[in-house]
Amino acid sequence: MRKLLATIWKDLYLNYTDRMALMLNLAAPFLISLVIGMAFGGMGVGDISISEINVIVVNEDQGSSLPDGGALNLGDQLVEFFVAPPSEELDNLLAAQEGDDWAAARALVEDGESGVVAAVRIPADFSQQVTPQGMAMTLGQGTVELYHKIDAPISSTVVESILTGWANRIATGSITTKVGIEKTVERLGVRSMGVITELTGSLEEAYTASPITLETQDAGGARQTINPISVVAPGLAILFLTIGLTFAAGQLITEKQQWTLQRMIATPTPRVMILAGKMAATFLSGVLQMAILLVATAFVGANWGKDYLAIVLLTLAAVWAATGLGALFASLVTKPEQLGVYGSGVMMVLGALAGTFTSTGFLGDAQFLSQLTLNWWGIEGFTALALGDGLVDIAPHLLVLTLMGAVYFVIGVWRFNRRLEF
Amino acid sequence: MAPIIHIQDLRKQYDPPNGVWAVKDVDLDIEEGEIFSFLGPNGAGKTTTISMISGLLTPSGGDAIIDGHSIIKEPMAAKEVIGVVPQEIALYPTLTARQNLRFFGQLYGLTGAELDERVDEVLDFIDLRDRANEKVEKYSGGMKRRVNIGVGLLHRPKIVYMDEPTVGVDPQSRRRILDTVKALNREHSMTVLYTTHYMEEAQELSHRVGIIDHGEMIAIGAVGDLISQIGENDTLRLRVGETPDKLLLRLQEIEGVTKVSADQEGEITILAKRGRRALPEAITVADEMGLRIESVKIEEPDLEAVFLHLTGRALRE
Ligand SMILES: Nc1ncnc2c1ncn2[C@@H]1O[C@H](COP(=O)(O)OP(=O)(O)OP(=O)(O)O)[C@@H](O)[C@H]1O
Ligand SMILES: [Mg+2]
Repeated sequence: MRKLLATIWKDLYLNYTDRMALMLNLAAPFLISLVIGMAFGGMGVGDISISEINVIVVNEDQGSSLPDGGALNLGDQLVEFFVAPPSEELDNLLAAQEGDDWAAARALVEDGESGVVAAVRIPADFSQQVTPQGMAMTLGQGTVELYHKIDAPISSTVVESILTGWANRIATGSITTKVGIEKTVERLGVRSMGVITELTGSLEEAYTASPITLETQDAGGARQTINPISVVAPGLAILFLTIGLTFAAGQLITEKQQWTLQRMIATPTPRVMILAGKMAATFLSGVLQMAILLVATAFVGANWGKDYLAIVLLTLAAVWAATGLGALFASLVTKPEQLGVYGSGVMMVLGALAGTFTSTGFLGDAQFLSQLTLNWWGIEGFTALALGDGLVDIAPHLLVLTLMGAVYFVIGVWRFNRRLEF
Repeated sequence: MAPIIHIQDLRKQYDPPNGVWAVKDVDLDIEEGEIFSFLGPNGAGKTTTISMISGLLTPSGGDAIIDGHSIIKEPMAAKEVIGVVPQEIALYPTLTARQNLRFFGQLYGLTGAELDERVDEVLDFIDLRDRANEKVEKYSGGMKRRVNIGVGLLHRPKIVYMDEPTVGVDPQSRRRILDTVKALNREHSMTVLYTTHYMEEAQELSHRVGIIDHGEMIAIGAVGDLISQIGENDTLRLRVGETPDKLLLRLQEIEGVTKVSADQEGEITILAKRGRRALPEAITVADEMGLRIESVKIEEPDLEAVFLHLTGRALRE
């Protein structure tokens, strides 16, 4: 037992006196938190997943007649746009319905149970106002009203942004804005929050350029208190964890090269104990790294939830799985240099598959791939906890992570044991 | 009394079934209190043998009984009595000498005051106590070698294996290491198994030498006995600028010459009965071929000559 402790202590000591490892284990979490904090710090609140935004469009537009004798109803076009969106992305994002009574629509927004987050009203004179009249070609001021729930700011922003883009398009006759919006919406995956800034920007632009006024009014109610940092932080935390632990596990290769591993085996110490010591040290480094990350990001506003027991267990499970993955990976390469290149590369790919950087939409039919990564289970678990879920809700995550870790370990240790046969 | 190391039919094939047989059927007994040297060229199988009898490498066949314990069946008990000094500097470069010693000492089961005491004792022995708290990476090659040896002595083993402990050190450090080996044997009655490809070292240190080549133990015995095996041969060393094969063949034909070999530096070693007689003819042969002989040496037979006699090759090729 003392020998086990000696190996663990030695490894931790080596880890934390080695600048590279120190960077990965301690400094990186701080840096990540700082970056996240700066990127999202000023942004306020957001809601987590955006899809199927429930909007009611009330079209009172009477239409107008064009100078060439044709008829135009812009309100109809907008309804069409919302109800049968021109792109699949938008279609996924929106679940709009047409309504005919503005008061009833507003009531639905206010009703917490209805699921309706916003109502849009196009007044009777809208087309009239924004269509060039007579020879003067002057435009009046058309007004579209948006009534939305306050606790769904992102959904509202999306609707707002669509309206703005539409307005711009009418005003400039150009389709560029439309494309811009679709791009924005496309990028508005389930987890990416940076987009709000863009939306806000385009909104401002729209207000100055467009002859259409958007009157926005919120329906009141409590704001959700989830900081966007909480959304990105788990993914990055787990990504860095996997990279850090791959390096830590890779020490075994270095030790074999410098013959200290052989020297350890030459002492009357069972091989399993040597391996266990190494893995325990790796695990502890991971726990420390995650702990620092959780605390540091909490300082810059991340919300990890209130179920502390669940947070601790999920952290342990994620570190366990990542340690196993690191061990497995380290058992597959033969030179420490390979770890640097392949290790971070593979871990980045796994992170990307799990949706660390973007939504997993890019996977298309291969969505299931993300669920094969420990990153995904960790991210989902932490996100659930941040949303107020508890231990029971993340039980599957704990189970899956624990099993993943166990499988990685068995394969990794088996391979290592063979490798110890020099 | 039973030998302290009893090696039986020991063999090792790397990467079976098609890999090299690095060690082939080695049988060897080493008595307690002996300094025994494995003498052999690079790749002879010295490290492979040491690795097997220290429990690092599983033999493909055979066994080694160390102080009564089979290295295969009771590896832990066997490892207790062995101190290993690997050919590589097997130390953590970013730890100090003291930290390295303490860590490995703990793996040998030492704790508390005893650990402190042994670490100091070893530091005194390798004469590094005053620099014990410097990182190993800052040490000179010779100092690293000394720490590398020190780690193998911490638990006061009955037996110490030293695998080429003088490789890459300056003459002064080498002298020091050789004296250390003698002191361990004489003052601490340790049994030493020493490997080297320098015959001078084997000759100076050992009670007995095992000559190993291509994984086979081709001769075992006391230095004097091994040398007398080759009879009245002398060794002639000729330094010539180049060593064309034709020259070697002509030399081979000289009466009384038994073996001829050349190394890369242009030194030709000739093993000949009554070497002094063969010398004039050797010079004539070289002259005829237009080669200038830069120096000539006649030596009494040594282990180098024994190796040449047995294998037809020089020890250092
Ligand atoms: N891990 C390995 N895998 C495959 N072959 C090996 C391995 N280690 C050594 N060998 C081969 O086994 C043979 C014996 O090597 P070994 O290291 O035992 O020689 P040595 O006498 O210690 O040589 P040196 O003086 O260079 O240290 C060599 O042919 C070597 O190439
Ligand atoms: Mg060797």
